[in-house]
Amino acid sequence: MSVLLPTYSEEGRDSFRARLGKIEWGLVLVLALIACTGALLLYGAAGGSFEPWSANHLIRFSIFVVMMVVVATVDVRVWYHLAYPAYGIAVLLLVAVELFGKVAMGAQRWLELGPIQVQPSEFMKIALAMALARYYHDGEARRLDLITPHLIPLVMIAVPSALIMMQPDLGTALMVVGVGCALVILAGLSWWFVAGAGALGITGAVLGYFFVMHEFQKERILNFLDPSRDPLGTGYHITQSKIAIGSGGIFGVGFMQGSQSQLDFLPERHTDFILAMLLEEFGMIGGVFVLGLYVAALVYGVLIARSCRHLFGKYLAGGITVLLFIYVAINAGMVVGLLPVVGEALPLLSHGGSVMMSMLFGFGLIQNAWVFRERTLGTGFVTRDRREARRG
Amino acid sequence: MTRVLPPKPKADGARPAKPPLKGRAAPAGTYDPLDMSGPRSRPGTRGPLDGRMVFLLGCFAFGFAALAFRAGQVALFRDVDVARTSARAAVEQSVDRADITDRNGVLLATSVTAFSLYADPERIWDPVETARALRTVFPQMDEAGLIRKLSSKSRFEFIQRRLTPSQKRAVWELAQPGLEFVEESRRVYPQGQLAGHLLGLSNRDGDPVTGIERAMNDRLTAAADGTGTEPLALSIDSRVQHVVEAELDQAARLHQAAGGAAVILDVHTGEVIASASWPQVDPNVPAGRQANAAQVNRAVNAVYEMGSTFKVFTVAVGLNDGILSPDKVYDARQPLTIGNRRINDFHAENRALTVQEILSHSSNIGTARIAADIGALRLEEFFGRLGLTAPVAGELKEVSRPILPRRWGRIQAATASYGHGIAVTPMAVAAGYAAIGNDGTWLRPTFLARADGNAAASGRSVLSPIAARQTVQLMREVVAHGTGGRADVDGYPVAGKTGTAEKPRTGGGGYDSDRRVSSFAGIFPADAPRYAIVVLLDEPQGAAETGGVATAGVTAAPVVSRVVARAAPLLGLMPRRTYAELSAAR
Repeated sequence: MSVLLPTYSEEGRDSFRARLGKIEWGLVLVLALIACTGALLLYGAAGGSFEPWSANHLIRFSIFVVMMVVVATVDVRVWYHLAYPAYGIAVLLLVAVELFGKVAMGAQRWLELGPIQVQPSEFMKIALAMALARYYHDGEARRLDLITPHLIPLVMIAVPSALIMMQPDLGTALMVVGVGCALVILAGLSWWFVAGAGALGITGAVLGYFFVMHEFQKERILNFLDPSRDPLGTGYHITQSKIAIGSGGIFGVGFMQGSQSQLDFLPERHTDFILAMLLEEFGMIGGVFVLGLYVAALVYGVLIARSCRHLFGKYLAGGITVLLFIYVAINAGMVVGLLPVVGEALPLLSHGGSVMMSMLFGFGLIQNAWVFRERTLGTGFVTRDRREARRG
Repeated sequence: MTRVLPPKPKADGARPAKPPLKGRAAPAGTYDPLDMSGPRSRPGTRGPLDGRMVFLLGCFAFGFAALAFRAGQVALFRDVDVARTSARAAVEQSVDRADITDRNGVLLATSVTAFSLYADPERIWDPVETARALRTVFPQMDEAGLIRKLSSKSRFEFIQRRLTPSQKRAVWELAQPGLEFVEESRRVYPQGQLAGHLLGLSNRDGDPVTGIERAMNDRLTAAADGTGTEPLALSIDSRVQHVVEAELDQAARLHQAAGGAAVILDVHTGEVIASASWPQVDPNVPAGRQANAAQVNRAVNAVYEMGSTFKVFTVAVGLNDGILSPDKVYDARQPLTIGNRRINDFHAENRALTVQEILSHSSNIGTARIAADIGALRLEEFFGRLGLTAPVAGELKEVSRPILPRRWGRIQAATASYGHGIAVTPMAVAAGYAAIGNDGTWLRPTFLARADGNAAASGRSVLSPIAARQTVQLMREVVAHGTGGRADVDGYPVAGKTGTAEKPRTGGGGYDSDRRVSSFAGIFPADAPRYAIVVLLDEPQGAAETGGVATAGVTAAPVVSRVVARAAPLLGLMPRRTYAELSAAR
């Protein structure tokens, strides 16, 4: 690792205890509340039993919270230096999944490394945010309102997205693209480019859809984008989900009283459709409570990004916050029928270890940006000023 | 990546070596990115970036607003995918409907789970292709109609309700997008046509529209709430019901009748033991696919001028009021003229007749004279007490009101006394006969099995027991020696009266001698009445077997005979001595 990690000066270093004290425990509380609500729902989903989901959920959360604290207190320079290597390893793992992943029980998203199952696409979401944060941190002195400094980040986004798309996992690919593009925009890409790219994309898509593609191609594309067009499969999910939400109304039908949830009408109720179960049993009130917790976490993320003095932390916190937002938006949008069913879980609420781990790792990085907010992290670029100073 | 570690020493190079993070000695001259003294280390980088952060917050706010709006829309307004949710609601309603059984627990109606096929036209790739594929499974479907359905703007179009498992599998294997299944509860009537009218027909949604299914809907669906899944026990005996339906069907076909009805009542409890209407219907088939003429339950939902069967009521009230004795003589030598109405006898004897003879020969003249003695007011009042002037339908909702004289004058009383100018349902006549068989106590007919013993409570005394028994004896003579001879059964003496009424001309004004309603109403066993029976054939035609005659004596009476012969043993009646022995004993 020492190849990757240089030694650091001790200047300005806090003790571990001091760093612990700097952690934003309010944010940890918000995350814990989400996880506990999830455990409650999972308890209900299992018909009033901690097995098989609820206990597991709480144990995992406890472990990953410790991991989050560790991530938060590790010197920010470690993460800064690990950013590119992590991204490189993630890309390699994605390639490995493409080459060897099929061997592992036909599941292309997973890679079996001995006893450990790795889902590189999950890893990539964090790694890309780290790499882009470092890139823009280093490029601080550049004219970021021009297009040229953003070409490399666009490649950095495109490569893993394409690899994930080939798995195929459209949902995750879109999330990676979303996080990446959010960082590019955050970094200062000119609004003209943003607006221009958006307009160009929409115009191209619309023109192509109406004038270039044949009818059957449109259907195929719609079908690809929206798996719920498959009548015997996931279309059922969304129907049941809407019925569950509709029956919940404002106040819900009561804990463990939801007919959709309890009578197995609602599929995947412990993972992707846990929000539908929440809305059925606790109504809009419960939904507002849980989404409020997510909003609180997002606001924490943005505020931390604002107050961090070094760009690396700003971008990293911003990127991870965007990642959480995309997770919540995709999942909730899917459950209420606004977005196609792409099968993404709701972080910390749904049962599922990978998402919880990557999200709490990400929140560890956000906390890290908070703990080390007063640090001024130099750039890795040897700028002309620096060179001159050195010469001088 | 190499740029990450610019291996250049710091300008001052004066920092002491630090313990490396991972336990190995650091290479000399490492670059320290945490260099607060560097000229490019800016003290905080607020400014343009914060504008971007605000943009980010705006995106979040917009996203959550959209989600909240949509969630509220789904949660509070059911018109999001109305069709789906309402279809779902309809399906849930029909789930767990209580079973219906006969009085002996034989299953008449039950619910099984079935799948219905619907299309979501928005997801259909190619309506033509899908329609053609569907026609391979449902060849009877109209292709143009299917294409229209599959390309409609709605999100929910039923293609076929309640598929069989093999149909469902076949549709599944078509692998066409946009075709979906919804689980529905399907009502099944395992006895087929048996008691079809009584059980009731349903519309294409499976909602009951007639019969017990509709009338007792609350009771049957209350079970779904967990208030009890007890089957609903009807009063009918499915074996007797089957006999009645089979014999009615045979006679109606033989005589090419337009319709028919038959009712058997337990005279002591008012329970309907059998209630049939012809043409029959199969409750397993939705009402919309049944012939209109067959849908009417003629036992309760059609009124007929019953003709001579009413003479029994007239005689009964005369006996009750002491105006008559069975031996009293009336003049029937001349047609009777009341006002401008001339009353004739069909089987004119042209002599003086006793009351017994008036019934046995079915003399209109004699009955009209009796009615004149009774008086119009008393006759109207008695018919009312006998339940002939109000709807009698048991529990059923579909019921016809009787057609009554607008005012009961002398003429109206005279015609009503022999069953003209007054139209009632077969069920009402059966209830009236049952009252005679029940020692003069009228009971409201019921289609629900009664617990023994509580029947008398709802009874209404309309005749003295003596008058009632005298009336039964008179009726017995009608069968033993009069027009109703063909109704009799060896071992099970039947008492009753035939009725052949001409139907009113369709254009109005007078009666049509070619269109008749032939009926027989009676009681069995005559010596100890247990059951009342009414059989009615609407517009029977003369058959070769009956010498081309279509009067009640040769059309309806034989049906009664065959029904009683088959049903009496099923009802636990012991055979009496033979008819000859019985007459001799008397």
